Amino acid sequence: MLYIPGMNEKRKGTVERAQARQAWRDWLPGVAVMAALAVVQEAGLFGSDGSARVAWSLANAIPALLLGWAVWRGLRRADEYQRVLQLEAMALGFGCLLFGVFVAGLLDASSVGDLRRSVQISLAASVLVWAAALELRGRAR
Amino acid sequence: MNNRLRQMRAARRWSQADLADRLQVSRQTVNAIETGRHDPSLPLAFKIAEVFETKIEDLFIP
Repeated sequence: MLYIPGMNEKRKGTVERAQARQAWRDWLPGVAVMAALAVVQEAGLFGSDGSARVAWSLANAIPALLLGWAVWRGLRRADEYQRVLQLEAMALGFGCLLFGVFVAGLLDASSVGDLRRSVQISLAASVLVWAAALELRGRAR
Repeated sequence: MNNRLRQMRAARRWSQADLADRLQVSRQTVNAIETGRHDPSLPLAFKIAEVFETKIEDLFIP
């Protein structure tokens, strides 16, 4: 391949392309099931807001397990530097989640807001922190 | 840790992606090693030395 200093540097290697393809295959099932459950529960379909509320709530464990499995697969597939970045970003996200859930508990104890919403916001914020940390730390110089 | 990775790679007209393919790691990792943000593990350091057909001491400067 023609080598032009600086120009070729943004091209991803074979390893990264293979990782990206596999990541899509790993994450898609969990995200799809999570999205489907969210639609069902928000729209109150199939008894999710009535007689089958508990069962549908427990069903959220399925996408959680699928996504956990996708994260595990990603860590196993990562090389040494990528693994360090992932674990550091996950630690930041986990810290954010702990803080968010703690605040959600305090708010609920003071009868402020909806606990379920507060926990969902905490979870979403922690995932965003995780993704942002990974992106910012992983940028090439 | 300082290293001569970038110079030696440029001398062979390899891109970071080319070197990453030879080492079976990501281009991100190659960039991080070259810029000193990451010190490679011993197995990876030996692999790098093998790819460049040189000794580890000639690549990495403490």
